[in-house]
Amino acid sequence: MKTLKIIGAFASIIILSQPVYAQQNEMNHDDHNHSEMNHDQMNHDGHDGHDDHDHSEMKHDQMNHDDHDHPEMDKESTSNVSITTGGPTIVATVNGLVCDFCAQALKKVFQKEEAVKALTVDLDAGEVRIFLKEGQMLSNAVVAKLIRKSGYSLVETQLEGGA
Amino acid sequence: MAFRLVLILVIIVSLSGTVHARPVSYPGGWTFMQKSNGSYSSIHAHYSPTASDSIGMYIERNWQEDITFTGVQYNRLVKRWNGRKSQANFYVKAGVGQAQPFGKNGAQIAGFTELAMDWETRRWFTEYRIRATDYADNQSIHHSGRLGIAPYIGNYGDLHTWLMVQVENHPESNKPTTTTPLVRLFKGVQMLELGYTIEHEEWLANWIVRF
Repeated sequence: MKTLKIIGAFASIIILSQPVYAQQNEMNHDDHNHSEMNHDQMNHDGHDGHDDHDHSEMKHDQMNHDDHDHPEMDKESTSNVSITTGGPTIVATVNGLVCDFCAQALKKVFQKEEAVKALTVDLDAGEVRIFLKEGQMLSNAVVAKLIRKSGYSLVETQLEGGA
Repeated sequence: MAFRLVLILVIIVSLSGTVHARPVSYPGGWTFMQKSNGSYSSIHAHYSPTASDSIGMYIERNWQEDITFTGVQYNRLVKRWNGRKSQANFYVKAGVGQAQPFGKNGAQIAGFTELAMDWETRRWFTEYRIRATDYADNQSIHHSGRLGIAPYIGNYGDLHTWLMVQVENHPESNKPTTTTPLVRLFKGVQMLELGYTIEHEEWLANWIVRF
């Protein structure tokens, strides 16, 4: 009976607790709304296949996104969330990424950096994608240092996009 | 039998060639750990100033030794190995405080030390711990080993599930070797373990949350 009470108490705590990490895993879109944004106001520099039609009167939420890519956006492997920062993205291959607890350390450390807009973790690929603010950059040495500070080791980095 | 299993776990850990480490804490992070089983219930809250150290309070009510321990605990990640698809850690833990026998006055200085090592991939988990305690007039050494498998591989942010078997050895106990099948669930910052110790017919319930 005593143990059942203990387990019941734990279950209540778990259920009532906010899934903090899961929320951090997703971008906060509360402060902007694409549905009111006109397509001709968007950055289409990286789009393909738009030569034969005009979207200038069409709103973003009415569009079919199946046949074109958004190179400046990157889908997180763990969710269907897109991230656009306007800045470059550093893809860091990291050793030791085997659990969510580990990934949390990276988030906590990198999000203290002024240049970092967001960060996602792909456990399958062992990769961390560091989305930087427009006009910002982190050197390889700094990335390696922050990853080491989180408790991991950097294998290599690649740079994607950038203003 | 228990020693053989522990030995096997140690060998697995030591032979894991591409072993690398995992952080269980991050700089500036707080952790709250609660453990409860047939032998003791404990609460451990600690702060990690770096990814290699943590310090905090530890309180344990030990049902086998009829003692309440209250003290300060320090954990040190001595070595961490990060592999491409694995990680391993070697920890030293130590605590000092006072032990108060149940229903009696006269708390005495007490302490403990523990060595722990683990190795895990996203599919497999192994752990071995040896803990020596000196709670007032009760001194003991306790071994513990775990082997776990993840029935599915979840990605970041998913609910992760592990099926584990924990084997413990308390040489002074009337049932020195115990076996506890358990399930570990963790999602985000929270981890919950529920198990059942067969020999003692007692439940195990552990909960960890990080801030």
